[in-house]
Amino acid sequence: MDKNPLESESVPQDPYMRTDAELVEDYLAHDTAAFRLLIERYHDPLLGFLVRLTGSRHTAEDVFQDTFLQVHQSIESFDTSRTFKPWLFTIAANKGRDALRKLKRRRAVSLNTPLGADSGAEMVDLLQINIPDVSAPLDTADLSVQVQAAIDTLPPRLREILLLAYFQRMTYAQIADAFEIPIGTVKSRLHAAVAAFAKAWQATQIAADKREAAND
Amino acid sequence: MIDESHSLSPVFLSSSDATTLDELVEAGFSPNPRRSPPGQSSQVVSLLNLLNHLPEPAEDPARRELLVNITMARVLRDRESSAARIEPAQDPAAPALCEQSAAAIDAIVDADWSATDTDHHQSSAAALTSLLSAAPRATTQQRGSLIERTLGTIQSDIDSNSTRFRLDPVTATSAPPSSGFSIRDLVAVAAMLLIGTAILWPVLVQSRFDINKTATRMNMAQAGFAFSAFAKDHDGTMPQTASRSDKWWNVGDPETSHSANLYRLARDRYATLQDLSCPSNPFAPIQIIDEQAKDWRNHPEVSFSLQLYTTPNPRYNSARTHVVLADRSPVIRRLLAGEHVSPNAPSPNHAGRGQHVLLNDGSVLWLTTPYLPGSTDNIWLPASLERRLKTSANVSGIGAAVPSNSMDDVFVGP
Repeated sequence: MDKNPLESESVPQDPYMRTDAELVEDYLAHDTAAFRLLIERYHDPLLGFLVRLTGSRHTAEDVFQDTFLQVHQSIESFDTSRTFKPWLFTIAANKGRDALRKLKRRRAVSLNTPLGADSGAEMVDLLQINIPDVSAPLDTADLSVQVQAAIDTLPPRLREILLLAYFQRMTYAQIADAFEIPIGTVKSRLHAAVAAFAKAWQATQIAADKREAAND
Repeated sequence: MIDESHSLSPVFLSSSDATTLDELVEAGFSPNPRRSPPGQSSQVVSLLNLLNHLPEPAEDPARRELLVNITMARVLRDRESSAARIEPAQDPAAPALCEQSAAAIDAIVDADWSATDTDHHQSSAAALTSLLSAAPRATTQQRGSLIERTLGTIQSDIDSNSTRFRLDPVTATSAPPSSGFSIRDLVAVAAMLLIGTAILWPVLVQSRFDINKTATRMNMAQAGFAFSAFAKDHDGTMPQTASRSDKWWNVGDPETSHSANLYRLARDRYATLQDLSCPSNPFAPIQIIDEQAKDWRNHPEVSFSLQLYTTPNPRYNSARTHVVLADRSPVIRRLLAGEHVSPNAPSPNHAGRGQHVLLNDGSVLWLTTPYLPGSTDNIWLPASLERRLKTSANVSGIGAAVPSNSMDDVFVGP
């Protein structure tokens, strides 16, 4: 009996149902449409990650392009038995760090203002960081700007670890595997990232309070 | 790979916060972690929740499509150029050594071309050395002839150099040849440089002009995306910060200056300051230095002039195409300086050759006159002043230079 044509191997699978690894293999077999699918599939999460990392959509879009160009150039070295996403985000993080280095971005000057002696906050640099109370309500737009400003003060490698862990839900093992560093290092970096973020946020609030007091 | 050279920030989490954080990461930041974080550790959760307020890229299907297309085009271009660089695959019909012969050659080479020293491939090695030994060799006569011909060539080269030396009175002296150079050499090199510069200078100038023009066009297109995104988030309106004022040319005073309206795109992160700059403007900042700033500090820093509007909520999106932005006006600053201005003067941004204009449909036009195609509306001047100019060749005061009440009259500034 003839084989059911619907079950035939010649019937192409819906490309949107193909896994990342299958798309990579398709691309290695000169199927350029597969690469486009990868770009479309990761457009939203990768661009979101890069906008948060760089603080600029313009820069993020440049880095997005560079990332996929690097993926194309290195795709033959990619082990398809591993997960594609961490590999992609690692490349993006590296490219993002390069872009930040080139831009030499030093924004949020007000956040870097030394904390006043009257607040006793200088000790924060040397002591354990006290995570500030974030329950006080803030205007949404202001909050967004302040959070981004606090994130921008983090060194790029701490920033990327925090964003990968929080937004991409990557576990310690996945990050360690992607960056080829020990899990212990990933942990200590994430701890440092959260502590630095807490410190930056604290500084933001103190600066905001001072501005408010000055306005009053 | 992560750069290991940076030093860690000198702050640390308490052990309870660190434990909570580890649990959250391993649980994928689940809203219902298996173990509820105790006491102060809930502050970690609150702190991390702040990250949810980080700005998301605005949804824009057209921009998304454009980014995917550009990325794909770059990949394909790189793929094509890589394919051209790859050496052609080895011709399967080309002769190849069998493994035994290849091993024999390796053994001979390792044994310094001495067949007797090889242990395992003696027959192959002997055959190969015999074959190579049978190659035709130059006879003694041929060898002598080659030596003579070589020496002859060397001698004729010496003779020819000597002739050249004799033609040069500086080197024809009995003094040993100098390792430096004469004034004549210097003059010759200088003349060549002058000629080269004279030939290349116009090309370089043109290249620079083209590069700046293209970069400005791209920046303006990027600004178009920013206007579009802003309008989408603000009920279709243009950015507005400054209150309506009759001192809209007051750059540096965000309360009155019209440029503050444009600056708001950068302040609210819809665009970078680089997007709002022209590369030929050496004073234009390309990144925000003062987070509190609401305007450029002075006129020279401003690269683009924004369509002036006085209606309370000027619309960006409208059925009618209108001008949004242009290269900086040549009029306003000269008027403020009390200088006479020709209304047909081009923008100072592009060596006086023309100016870009951004329309609200996102397109960017290059104009060599301050008039849109098929229009008699001067983009640098308000309609009222244009009417007055019909009887006068020059503008000599800022006088009636106030914005019109609609977007129909194209008038950009400051």
